[in-house]
Amino acid sequence: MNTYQNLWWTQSVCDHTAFKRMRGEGFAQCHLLQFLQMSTEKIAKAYFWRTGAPPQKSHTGFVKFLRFLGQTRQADRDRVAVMFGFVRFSDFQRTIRSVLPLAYELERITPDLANNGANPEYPWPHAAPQFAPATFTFAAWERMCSGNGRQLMRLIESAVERFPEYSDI
Amino acid sequence: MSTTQIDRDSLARWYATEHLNTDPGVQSVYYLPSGAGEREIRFIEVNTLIGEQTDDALEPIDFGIDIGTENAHKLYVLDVTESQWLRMRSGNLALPLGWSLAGSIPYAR
Repeated sequence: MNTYQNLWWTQSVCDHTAFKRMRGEGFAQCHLLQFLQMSTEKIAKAYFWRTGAPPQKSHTGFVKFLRFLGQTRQADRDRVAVMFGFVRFSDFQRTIRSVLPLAYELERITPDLANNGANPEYPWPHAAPQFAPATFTFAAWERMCSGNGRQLMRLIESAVERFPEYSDI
Repeated sequence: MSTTQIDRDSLARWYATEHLNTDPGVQSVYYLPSGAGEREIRFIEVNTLIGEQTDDALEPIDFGIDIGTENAHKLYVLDVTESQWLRMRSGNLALPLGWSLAGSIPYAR
């Protein structure tokens, strides 16, 4: 892991720790989604810093990161599968495929990608606000609480906790 | 805060029914009241849409609900495959620390 990766990973761990605490304490959905999204954005950036060149400066990257992991080169596949808690790499790939739509939804929830709609930070729509994140029921969080969503949360947790072991793959 | 009793069993039944009705992968839900705190609901959910994970990766996810109100409680969900559930039931796969199948209540489709 290079020093740039370490900085981004450190921040991702911090965001993810906050997310887990807030989930256990039943914080508002907006905070849960915001911290989970921030953690995933940063773990993706940590991963893409492996070349030593800065990744794209945007909130996206997590879906691309999952796709990269799903296309790990043959020689590393068994190791990656075990890191993420899977018996077989094919199960890991299947899981990535099944959680990608929700990962995409999480990635697009930031204010600048939410198309003037539901986002975890600011009331919307911008010109004449009708909703506040604090009191809004987010469909994305409802889906995050399903079996598929819990799979994604576990995958994110492994991605954050095991990063030093696959940071250069 | 949190001075009144919650009807844990009724809540568990409601959650289990909701999960079965809304989640196509969940085939059955086992509610494990034995050893759980008064405001703690423990579920094992058998899910056909999840990948087989290693045994050491099995860890429940916790959700705090209505925290700060008199209905405050926690929901813990452990997702397992059918084969993992069979191994758990036969004692060949450990449950999370402190969890027990004694007196478990099944909910199915």
